[in-house]
Amino acid sequence: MSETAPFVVYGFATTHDALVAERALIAADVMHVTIPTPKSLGALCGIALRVPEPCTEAAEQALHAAGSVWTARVEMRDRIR
Amino acid sequence: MKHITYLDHAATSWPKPQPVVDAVVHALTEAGGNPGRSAHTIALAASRLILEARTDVAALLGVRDPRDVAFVPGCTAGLNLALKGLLRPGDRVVVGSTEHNAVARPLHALAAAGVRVDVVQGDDAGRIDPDDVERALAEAPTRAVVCQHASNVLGTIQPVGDLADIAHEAGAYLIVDGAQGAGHLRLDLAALGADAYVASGHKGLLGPQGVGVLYLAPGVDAVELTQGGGGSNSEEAVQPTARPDRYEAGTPNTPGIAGLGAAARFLLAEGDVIRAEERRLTRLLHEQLLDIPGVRVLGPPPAEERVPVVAVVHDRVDADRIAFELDSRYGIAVRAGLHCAPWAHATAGTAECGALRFGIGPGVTDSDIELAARAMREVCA
Repeated sequence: MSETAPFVVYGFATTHDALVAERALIAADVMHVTIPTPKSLGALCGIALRVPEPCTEAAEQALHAAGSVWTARVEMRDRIR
Repeated sequence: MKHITYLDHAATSWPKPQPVVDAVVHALTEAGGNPGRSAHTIALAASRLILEARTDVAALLGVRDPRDVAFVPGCTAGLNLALKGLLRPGDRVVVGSTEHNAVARPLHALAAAGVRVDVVQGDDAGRIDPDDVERALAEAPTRAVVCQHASNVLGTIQPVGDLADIAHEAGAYLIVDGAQGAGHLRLDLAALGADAYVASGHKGLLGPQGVGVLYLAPGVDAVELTQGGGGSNSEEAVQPTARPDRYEAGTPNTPGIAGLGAAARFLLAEGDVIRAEERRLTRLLHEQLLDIPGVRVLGPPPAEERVPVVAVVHDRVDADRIAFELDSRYGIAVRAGLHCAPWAHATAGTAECGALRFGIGPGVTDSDIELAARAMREVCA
């Protein structure tokens, strides 16, 4: 089994919050992918934002600036069997 | 289809602005996924349409946080939620005397469940005097004041800002039925002070039928009436408390919401012009109708601002007969009857006969008004 580069997944209480955050990352030109929320993040909305680990500082600055609040923040790696 | 002179905008606006039609078609053809449920391309497209619509509707209504705007199936559903979500057996509610059945009937049901309902009588134009509301609030502890922003029969605009102050002074909520206010009146809900404001999406807001707007001020804890899936917190047995999900269980009317969002953008750009034209044409019609022998125009006089609704009765010809003649002979669409508002008709003294209502909106022209007035003269001659 191999692992990919680390990334951070941000989870949100509602789809509205997730997409407001997505807008903030797009506006700030922060690399990200909108993904189905990993089950391990807990009880959240179904959409999460995946940000490469090196981009998280810029991402969190953009989210703070937009007043966007994430409910979960989990550092992860893809495991490929 | 024969040419229609459409003067039934108070029932529903028609035709819709082209951007509204385009947005509905786009939602159905390009964004047909289930919003909030999945993260695939077509579902995300639907989710983004709803985000955009919520943001733009909030901007139009003067709501600071779009999460305080919930999309509901219509104004009636939103009013039921506000009333039944805030009132409990033993509570008292003070309500105006011209309310639509969308308020009167839920209150009738709540009264049967032990809510005390006290009506503050308006004058014959339906104006609610804030001093009368203040006196009513002094009589007993009150959970909420309920009032329409404008009458769908009389056109009368109520002083909801003053009522908000009076209600809050007494520790009560103000719940506003904005069915005939939103779109026709420039709104700043954050400043207005209403704790709940409910709007129809398809009347003055110019959106499609089947969608409405429920605004609950921050901190107003209305209990949701419907529990179910929404795509968030699926592990939990209880309905999420985060807005807007709390009030939006079940798959939403995405095409309708997308259309409403387009309508909001249209009104943000054109609303002031539309409202000024509605006021001008409403006054023109009002004055012309007053010149017809036997006609009585309900509501305030022409010099007083009203929403673009003009209802009349004739001393010899019944309203339903006039409505039929206007449609069949002139292609004029108007509404006769009680307009789902028997309280308003009782206030105006027309509960027995009903009235004929003209509703003005975008697209109505001077020549439409001239035609309507001429047709009225001929039918009532």
